[in-house]
Amino acid sequence: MDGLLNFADGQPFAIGSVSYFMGEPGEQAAGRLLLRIAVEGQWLIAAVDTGGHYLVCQPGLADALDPHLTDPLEEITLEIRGLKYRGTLYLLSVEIPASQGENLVVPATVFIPKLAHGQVWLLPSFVGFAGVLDRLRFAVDPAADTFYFGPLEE
Amino acid sequence: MSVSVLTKTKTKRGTRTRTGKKTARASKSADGLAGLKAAAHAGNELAFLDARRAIDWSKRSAKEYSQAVRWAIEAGAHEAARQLAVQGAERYPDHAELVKFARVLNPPKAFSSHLPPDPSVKADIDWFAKHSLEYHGQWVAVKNGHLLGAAPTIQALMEMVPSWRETTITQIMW
Repeated sequence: MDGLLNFADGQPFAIGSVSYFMGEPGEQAAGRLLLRIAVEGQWLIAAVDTGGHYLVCQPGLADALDPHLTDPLEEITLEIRGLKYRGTLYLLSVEIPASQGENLVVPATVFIPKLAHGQVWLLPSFVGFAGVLDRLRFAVDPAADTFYFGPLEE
Repeated sequence: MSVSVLTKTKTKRGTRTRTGKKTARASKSADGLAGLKAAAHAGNELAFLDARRAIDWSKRSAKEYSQAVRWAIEAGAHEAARQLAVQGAERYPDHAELVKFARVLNPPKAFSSHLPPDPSVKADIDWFAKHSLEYHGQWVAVKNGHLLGAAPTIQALMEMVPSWRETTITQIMW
């Protein structure tokens, strides 16, 4: 497997790369790195959150992912940006597409919130560290708005 | 402090005296697990981690591990939940619930799909970078850099764009 980024011994660090976008200062997306990923084949946009846990989907995406939500792990409460949300954990396949190199598939822990009556969701989906990003190698080139990724082991 | 299910298990096994007083060992054991439960119910991650450290996990049953994973999640101690799940599944590989906890909380590593690069990624990213403000709050379906539909709900979007499964769908909330 050829790497786009390599260790000193020639072993690949990243096998693929993809463009991301961020908002300009003052916009709501400022400081957020947003990627296009696929959950069980469904493409969506998610913000990278290295301080977060799991892949947190926007609640409405439950309708799109419904055929794959057959084996829940647990109903849990997750605190996201200071607010508590009930929802369900699943193990789902997440794909990071490459615009250069090879795509990467990550078996990921996914949290799908179920909003309580009157509760609203004003956030994007999030790709957290624990349960998703800690399953792969990644690097960011801010000069080229490029996210590099690769498997942890050959 | 509330008493855990695990304490009741100990009681059934006769760790209380006839007068109802706990033995020293049972009391210490129960306190440790009750500490996990109390921390979980309070959503106190640090208290959970402290209580976890005080427990001798080599003497815990599969059921106790499983309950501890649940409490860890409830406490917001997600890394502790993963570690307990993995540790428990290694000790009790035949316990279906622990194995499932470990599988979901500690999924396998990533691997290459060996698929060629996808040129539509850049086109879609460019569309979102340019038009997010314009459609903020809307559910949108984008394919190959073109907007196929926008709606206030995902259900309305699905009706508007029958081929939504082949698109990038998202609610623009950034």
